[in-house]
Amino acid sequence: MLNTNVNSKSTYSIITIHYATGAISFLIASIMICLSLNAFSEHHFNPKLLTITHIITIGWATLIIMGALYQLLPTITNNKLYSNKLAAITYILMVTGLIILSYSFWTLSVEKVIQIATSILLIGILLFLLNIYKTADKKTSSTEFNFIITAVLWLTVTGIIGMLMAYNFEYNFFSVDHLNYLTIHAHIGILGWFILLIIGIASKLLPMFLLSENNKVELLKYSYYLINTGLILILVDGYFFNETKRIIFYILPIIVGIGLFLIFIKNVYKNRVRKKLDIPMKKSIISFIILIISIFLYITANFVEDKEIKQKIVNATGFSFLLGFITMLILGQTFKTLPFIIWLNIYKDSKERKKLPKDLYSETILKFQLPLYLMSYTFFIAGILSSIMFLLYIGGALLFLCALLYNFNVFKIILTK
Amino acid sequence: MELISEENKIELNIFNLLKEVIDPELAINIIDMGLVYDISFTVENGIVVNLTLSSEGCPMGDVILEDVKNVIKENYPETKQKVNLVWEPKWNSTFITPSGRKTLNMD
Repeated sequence: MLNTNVNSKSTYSIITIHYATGAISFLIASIMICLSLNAFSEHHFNPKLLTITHIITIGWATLIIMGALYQLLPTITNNKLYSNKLAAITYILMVTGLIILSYSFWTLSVEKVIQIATSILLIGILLFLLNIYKTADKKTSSTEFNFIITAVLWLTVTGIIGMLMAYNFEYNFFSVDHLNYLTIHAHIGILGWFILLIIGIASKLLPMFLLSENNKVELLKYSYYLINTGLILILVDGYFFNETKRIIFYILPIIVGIGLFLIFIKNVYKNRVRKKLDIPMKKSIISFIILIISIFLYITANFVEDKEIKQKIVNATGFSFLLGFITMLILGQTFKTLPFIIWLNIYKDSKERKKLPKDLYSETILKFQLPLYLMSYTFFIAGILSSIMFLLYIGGALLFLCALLYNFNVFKIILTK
Repeated sequence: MELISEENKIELNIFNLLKEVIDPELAINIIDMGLVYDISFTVENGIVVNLTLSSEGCPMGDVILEDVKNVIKENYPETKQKVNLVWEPKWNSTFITPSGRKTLNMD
């Protein structure tokens, strides 16, 4: 039997509010970036970059992903979402935690306030994990679901390390430098949570949207084990043996794992029935090219000796992963998911369907946004690497414009009557 | 002499009616998409439609199923009807009709 989960009014509202909050977070982050362009030439452990990074990772990417998961999970597990109430509480905790966390980073209130923020966020993550776990049943064992549930486990680890770092500011129980734990926190957050989750979701959605046949699904199984092996090594060596210099070796299986996923995507693209890509799918495919650029930047950073140049490449890598790859993917996939939820809610029982899901947003704006975003990304990467402020100013202005256009389209969809 | 039986006429009519059912994501009707595998009508069993989806867990699946049921019910309100979702044979692009291939810009 097919699920009808998304048609439930409460699930619909929960999904919608995640997208709306994600869009607003993106806009706020773009404004903060414009106001903090100097921070991109400093060490990444600075109040402004920490605030912006967490608004992007939690407020923008994680909230949108959570909303998308509440929509997608029932199609993967064939079960209704375990609890809408739990999803609502998770949302409240995540947003509250993020607001307090942003305040504590921005104002450098690194004692009690940050402890409260990270504790709230961790409770939110644990409730999310419970909801996802309970949605599955004994029959659920697809490759996609394995990626998703493991990603949520890594999100929990990321949250735990984040909370430990917050408490360490006051109680100072870490035996080595704080930055050691920041490195593990960032690696596990990006590679464990985002990458694994994106592989899980993309391996289900992309073949479905492109009508692709004969895909090499077995590649994903190897990818799953390789990425997780690397992540476990990063965690064990970094956390228990306080060593993060060997991360570059543990990254190797992860890069191979991501490489296998990219081969899978290439195959999906090659075998697609729908030859002409729409704008959301174009954005999604471009995001994977940006992922390759991000990996290249990451590897380069590890082989550069000069501290100043290394720092620039590290900042560019972080930007490329979060505001290049992940953001571009969301900018595309939002318009393959959100319009359908809204459309289903409006037209499911209606016999007169005046519109299709794609008619709920402005395609012209979406078209216009693509080159704009690519220019913004290019200016930013060039600006960070060269420390030429003028490039960052243009990149920042374009990013803000993109965020505005994205918000316009998202709210146009949400407010459809 | 009638070349086509009354039952066949009903089946043919349902086949044409199902061209009104559109996949909302692809904007193509389910007949051209090759999703409908079998339509049968007998006095004892009523109307039975076997159809599939292009991928398991398609979020638009239940909309398509509902639409098929509604179209049949509207046109044959007194007749028993059953719409079965089947997964064998697995759908592939060779099931798409020439007109569907044109709609999807496949050629």
